[in-house]
Amino acid sequence: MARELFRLDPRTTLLLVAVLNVVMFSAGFAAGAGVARMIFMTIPTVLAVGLGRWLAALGYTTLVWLAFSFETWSLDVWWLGGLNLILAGLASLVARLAPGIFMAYIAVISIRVGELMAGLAAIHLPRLVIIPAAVILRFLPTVREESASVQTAMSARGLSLTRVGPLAWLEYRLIPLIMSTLRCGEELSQAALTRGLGRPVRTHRIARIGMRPVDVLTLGAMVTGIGVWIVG
Amino acid sequence: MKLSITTKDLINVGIFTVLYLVVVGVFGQLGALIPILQVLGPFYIPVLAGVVFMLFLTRVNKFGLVTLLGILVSLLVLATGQSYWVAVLAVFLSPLADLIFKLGGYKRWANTVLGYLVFSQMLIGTVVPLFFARESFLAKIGSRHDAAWVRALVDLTPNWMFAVMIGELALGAVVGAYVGRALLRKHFERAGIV
Amino acid sequence: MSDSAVRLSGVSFSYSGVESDSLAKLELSLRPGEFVVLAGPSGSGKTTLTRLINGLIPHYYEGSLLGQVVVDGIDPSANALWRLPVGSVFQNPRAQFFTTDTTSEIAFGVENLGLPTAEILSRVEEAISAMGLADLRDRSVFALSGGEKQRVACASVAAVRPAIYVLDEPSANLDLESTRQLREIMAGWKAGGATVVVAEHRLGFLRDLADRVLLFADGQLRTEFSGADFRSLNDEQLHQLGLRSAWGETMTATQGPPGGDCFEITGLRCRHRSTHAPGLSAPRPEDAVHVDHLRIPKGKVTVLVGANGSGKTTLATWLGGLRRDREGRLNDGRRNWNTAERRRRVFLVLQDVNHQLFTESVAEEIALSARLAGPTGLPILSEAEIMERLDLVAVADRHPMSLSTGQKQRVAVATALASGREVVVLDEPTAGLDLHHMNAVADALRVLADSGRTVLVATHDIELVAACADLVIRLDHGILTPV
Repeated sequence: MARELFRLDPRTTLLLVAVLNVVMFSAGFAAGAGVARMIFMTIPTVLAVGLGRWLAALGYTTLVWLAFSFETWSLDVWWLGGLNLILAGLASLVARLAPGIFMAYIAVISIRVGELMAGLAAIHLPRLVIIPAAVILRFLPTVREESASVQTAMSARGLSLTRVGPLAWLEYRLIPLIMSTLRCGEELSQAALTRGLGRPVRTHRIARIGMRPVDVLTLGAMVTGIGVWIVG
Repeated sequence: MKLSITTKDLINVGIFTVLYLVVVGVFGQLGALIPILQVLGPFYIPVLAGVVFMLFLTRVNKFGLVTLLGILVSLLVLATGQSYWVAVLAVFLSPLADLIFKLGGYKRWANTVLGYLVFSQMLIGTVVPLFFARESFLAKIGSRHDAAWVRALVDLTPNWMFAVMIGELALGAVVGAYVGRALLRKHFERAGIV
Repeated sequence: MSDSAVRLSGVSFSYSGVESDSLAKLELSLRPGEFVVLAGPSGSGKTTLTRLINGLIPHYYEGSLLGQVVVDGIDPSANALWRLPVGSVFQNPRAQFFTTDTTSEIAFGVENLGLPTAEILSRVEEAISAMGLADLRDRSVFALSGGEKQRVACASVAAVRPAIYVLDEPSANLDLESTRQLREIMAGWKAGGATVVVAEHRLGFLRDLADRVLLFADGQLRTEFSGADFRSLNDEQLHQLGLRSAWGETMTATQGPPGGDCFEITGLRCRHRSTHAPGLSAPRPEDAVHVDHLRIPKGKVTVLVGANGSGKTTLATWLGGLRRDREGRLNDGRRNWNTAERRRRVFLVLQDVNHQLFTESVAEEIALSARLAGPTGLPILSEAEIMERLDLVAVADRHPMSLSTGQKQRVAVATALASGREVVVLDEPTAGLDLHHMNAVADALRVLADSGRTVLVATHDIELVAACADLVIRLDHGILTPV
């Protein structure tokens, strides 16, 4: 894939999504917790660079470090009064939410559907989970495309928020999106069924999954982060 | 009659999980930018999601699908940095909602409204830490800051707001069920999709 | 047991919730290795027949099924869908992928067979080389053109090595070159001894492959032709049967440079834009356009032809004011229109008409456009008049999404007319339409021009050109070329 330096095993990515969110919301204000948060804030930056998404990495990193610094700093210097409180709350929210959201974005853009199915099958999850999970990953970009098309069509017709009012605007925005997504879903469903999805056999997927050095490094960073958090 | 979950059902669950999330997440988050909408969020989010959920129910005729949808939605909400309480609640509330729907044969309207009300309550999980993890949060920062700061924080999030939000979700779910049904009749039935 | 690949005896089917039979009392037997084309207008039962063969009826579509269906010795009703040795290719290349990268997609069907990894890989390689897809290996499916997507879909199906291939309007969204490539793939299947069933409106590319052509109308098998008999029919005879042309796939219409009042596009440079495709790190191209000087006569129908990727859509969206490229002028003879003005005065009918119909009835859809209409120097028709002229009176109360694709296109044209905008640009309005609906859309475009609107249609439908063009221009790799 063009410009891609490295990519994680889907299982590593999913584990990271989960652990990162726990750390962000549970880590308090002790020194060790701060270091742990810094480690987990940095991992998504590295992954985004690995995927060749330099701009996204830069934007995220700037935002999250600004917010993190402000959160830490404003707790120590107490001089803006009520404004300080609001700003600190906002910064704290951004600093704790942004890494999780950005990591979820990385998961969506980096995990391929074939790898996800292979990875989830390798950890013995039932088809009850694998099939919907694959469809979700497959459909997130589709909904984004459909949503952009509906938005374009609304602009072309001149259906702006100010001209039609908020309720009609929501209806025009949502109903065609739901309809066209459902239509895509029907077609996807038919294509998958006629190509044997659901056959009760043990399937082997050819997507290459497995632990590579980057996975080991990432897991190492995660363990270090959690270690520092607990010890500190 | 015992119906087993088919591959078609599972694909449907995947599609509706995405649709529900898009409405709750994307359109719901619009409100995060405007303070007044933050307080109203628990009300209008289930209203917006109502049409998706009512549409989903037209394709459900067996136990398990609503449960699966609820758990998947909660896991994805979790993945975008929300509290694990959403998942904890989903594990209990979505099978309960599923059971309520099933008792109404996935058709009876009273069960539909009640079930959607129960299902929507999982969203309260997103604000649980704000109220219940507060003691530990305050204990942590209280040691470093003066009492006025802590008082101000407590005043911003009075405990009764939690009850108000549960009420908002319930009301939003009932309204959402009716709005969803109206939109189903206005658009989806007439378009031959349902 | 029989020696038929497919046998239907006394088969009738109606979809649940629909009164009439979509297919009635069908008797049909297909020999193994036979190449059969299903022809006939939309709604004639062709698609229903393909669904009976690939098992989507009754496993996906519910309804009442009478009679007996046997596919390769198996009764689809009594067997799970995956037992049928049938491979299916569908109309919409966009939606028939289960995975997000080409190699996984080609492997998907074989993987589901439960074969060992080595066997899967060798079959995938075989399909890739058989269909010349080597340079499409490991790509994001979101970054592929329609034709590339359709070839990947074919490879995915072929890797399973089905005995029977069923294709439902596979060329509906393809240009001539992609259609030719699709033909090569299908010829390969035929040569390999597989039974092939294709439902199609475009018959030209299937002409030489067909062993038999079945003509459907109103859910009935009306006539059938042997391949040789079918090839002896000329276009006029095909049109009388309600079919699209099978011969006229080359352009004949050429006109001189337009006189009279014109819109003029000068110095247009739309740069090739590539946005990140979601799912994988691969660019999705928006094609470049490089037009120095182009005259579009006012109040006429100008048809813009060119292959997929030639920049037709880019030009259309620029005209509609949805691209902000600074270089390029649109002049109405007196003054230039900037982006905001283009957006206000040019009506764009986009490729997928499904996205741009918003309300609950045809009448309301037209009324919405009328309510939003700005001032215009053109004649304003009443909503009733518009429906009358575009033959929409009978469907005025129907939900736009319940209509056929051809009818939806006419509703879109009606909203354009009601909007009062001076210029109407349409992108591929006849993709996948049968003869009747194509002609109806052509008539609708004439109505637009007769009401003083300037019409620009981007298409690769040669018959549409013959049916309505006042002027034909061609775009090739973003550059105007002689027709």
